[in-house]
Amino acid sequence: MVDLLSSMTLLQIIELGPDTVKVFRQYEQITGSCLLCNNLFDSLESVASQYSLKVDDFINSLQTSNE
Amino acid sequence: MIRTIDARGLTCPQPVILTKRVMDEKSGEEIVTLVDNPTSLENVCKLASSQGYTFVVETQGLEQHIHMTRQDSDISTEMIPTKDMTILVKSQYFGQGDDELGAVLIKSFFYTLTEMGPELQNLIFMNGGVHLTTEGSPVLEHLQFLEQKGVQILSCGTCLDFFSKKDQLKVGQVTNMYTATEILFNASKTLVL
Repeated sequence: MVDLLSSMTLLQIIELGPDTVKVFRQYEQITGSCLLCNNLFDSLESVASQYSLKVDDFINSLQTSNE
Repeated sequence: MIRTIDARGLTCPQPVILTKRVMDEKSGEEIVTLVDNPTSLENVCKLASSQGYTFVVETQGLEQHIHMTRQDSDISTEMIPTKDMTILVKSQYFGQGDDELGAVLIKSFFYTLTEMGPELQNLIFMNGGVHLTTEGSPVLEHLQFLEQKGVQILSCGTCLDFFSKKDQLKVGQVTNMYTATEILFNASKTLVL
């Protein structure tokens, strides 16, 4: 999978790597909200900010999901 | 033609992914996505807006049918490139600076032309450019390929005479300044090398 950027939307990320859906589902346990329902068109950066997540950890988790 | 995506029973992001996949085909057709939950409805509508589609939501019982059309859907026929581009080649080298590099670049350029769309109509070779249409040219096979595809290839007669190459022309026809100028004037797109 290509390198993910914090400026990418969740939709762009799952298009690039369908396996990232599993990671978003895991994060939903932390956020308590369906990210792929409510934030599909938001950037990873803004989602991380909204839910006080570390964006670098978020990217790493997504990046490794397809490897 | 209408493309219908049945996303009933599916949760986000599936309705959006399926709809986007059809949009990415750029077929210019009307797309109708069937959904049965508010989140999917909202997200497919957001997708439609973000991709430049106008949409109408039709409610049928517990389902919503999102009818999406792109305003430029007629563009698929309008954007078919017209065959009206002319390239004037004035040298056997691409650009100025170093002839060795220019020779490499010109080969690359003509190879690239063979991979391009059908817009190109005329290639006119003037001055040192006629070295490319005559015996020993490094791009002869590309030019012959282009000629087979319908591109008119013209070499300046005066230039061929000057370089004593009139009997060495290997592709296209000989032309004169009047014809070449007329073609350049009438072309809607002209590239000069």
